[in-house]
Amino acid sequence: MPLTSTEISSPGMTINMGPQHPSTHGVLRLLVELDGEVVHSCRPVIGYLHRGLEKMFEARPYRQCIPFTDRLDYLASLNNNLAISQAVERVGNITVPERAQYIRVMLCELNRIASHLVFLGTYATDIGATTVFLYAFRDREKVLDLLEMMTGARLTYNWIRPGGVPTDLPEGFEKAVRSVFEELKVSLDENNRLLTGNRIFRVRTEGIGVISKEQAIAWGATGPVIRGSGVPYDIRKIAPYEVYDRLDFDVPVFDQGDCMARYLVRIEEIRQSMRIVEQCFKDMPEGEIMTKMPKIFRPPVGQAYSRTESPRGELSFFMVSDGSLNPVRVHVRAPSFIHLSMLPELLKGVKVADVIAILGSLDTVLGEVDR
Amino acid sequence: MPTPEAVSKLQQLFSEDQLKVDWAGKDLVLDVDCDSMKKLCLFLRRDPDFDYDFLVDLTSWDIGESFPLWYRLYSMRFNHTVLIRTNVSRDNPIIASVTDIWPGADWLERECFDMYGIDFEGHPFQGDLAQMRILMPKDWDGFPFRKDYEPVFSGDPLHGPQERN
Repeated sequence: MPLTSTEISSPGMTINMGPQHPSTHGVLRLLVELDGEVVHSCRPVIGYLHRGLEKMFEARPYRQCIPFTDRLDYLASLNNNLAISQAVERVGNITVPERAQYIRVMLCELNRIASHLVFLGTYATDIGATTVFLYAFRDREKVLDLLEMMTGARLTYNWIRPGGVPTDLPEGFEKAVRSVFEELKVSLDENNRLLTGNRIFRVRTEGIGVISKEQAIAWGATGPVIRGSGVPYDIRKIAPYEVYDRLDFDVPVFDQGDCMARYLVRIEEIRQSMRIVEQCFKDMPEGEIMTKMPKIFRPPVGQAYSRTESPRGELSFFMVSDGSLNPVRVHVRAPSFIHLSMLPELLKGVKVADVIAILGSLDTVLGEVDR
Repeated sequence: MPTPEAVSKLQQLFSEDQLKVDWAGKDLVLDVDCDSMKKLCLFLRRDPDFDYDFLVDLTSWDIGESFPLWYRLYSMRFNHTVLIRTNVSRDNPIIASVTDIWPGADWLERECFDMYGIDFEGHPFQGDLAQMRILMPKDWDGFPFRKDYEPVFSGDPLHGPQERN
């Protein structure tokens, strides 16, 4: 009589995933204990990219902190620039001209599209659909061209700064954005046909890595992860910043809480971001783009907390000023850091092949995990 | 937003030395004694008038004689944020862990320990230095975000952690 799996006692096997493995999306190391094909326990080891950025902020004047934030979440640098700029503005009581706020929102949403397209491509590769990777990166290239047109850089923009934005929209920008959006809408439907209805993709993602509503709230998940679990938690709606309260957009929410739901949230968010950018062009007033800032910036004593919605979730900067040239403390609440701490709980009892599917669906960026 | 009755219920539970209630705009700010922190957190999580079920952020910094420790909580039901401020003394940096109330506090507390050396009583890895370290190497010496921390280079770039004599 053959023995069942519970009767065979195996000593278990420890698999070391990463830190140099393409599916871990950066320098993340996972120590996975296996019992046959089933994950018994998992321990993420991080810190390989720890540069002590929070300590480095303490040794620099406020404005020199901006370029470092590009290296946090390097797929959405503009969102990081915005978050720290807002913190500096709050600690120094600076108001930003309205036109600058519209430009900021527009650029952040373009960056969100670019970031979600990277997710789409890499997640498809994680699952095994390599074609989508090429299509998604082709589309991302077009969005990066738009950002390059505006900021002059393609990845680390260092562009949004305390007080506003340095340059106005270049000539022909609106036309370029509209033509890219036309193409993007077509290719999103194309990807939809390739992936969302794909039977293999559905089998690999549906019902895999389920995060319940209660779990997501208790673990502090934010962004597409919590919205994929049926909680409409979006900082742009619950604590609007810049001009988000004047813009009309929906927060996509899916109830299933599995990898598929998180994927669908991000795809829908690309569409919503396009809506926001189009509205920004329509509503944007003429006027100043930069507040007059003193050459030597010395904010009053105090603290500021700026909450923003980055493509990965709630990105917050906490800043303490003692009235000197440098901040005393800058703390980054990185969404990927919190999401990664859920991993040991999420991976308990799943098949080893699903480890990659679940990790990919959280869409972590190790730059902001390690800081 | 918590009702005035709920806030007075909160004030009755603690003496004036233990808890000071303040408002910053629409947000509630609570200054609490280090020892009463856990009791306050349990109350804010369980009382139906508050129901703070989401730990947004937890951070610390160095002001010399002590480490301020700030918790930011959010209530999904009431769409309201509360800021809990407490101080941990430098000589004896111990505070109760809140990982049993909000499991998301796990890595945030480990980060506070890693950078400032604040011990969280009741954390699953409490006392286990190698397991508690999160961003720094597990055999690192000292707490790098303290203002009096001085890195000493051992002379060997492959060695990593510094050596003190």
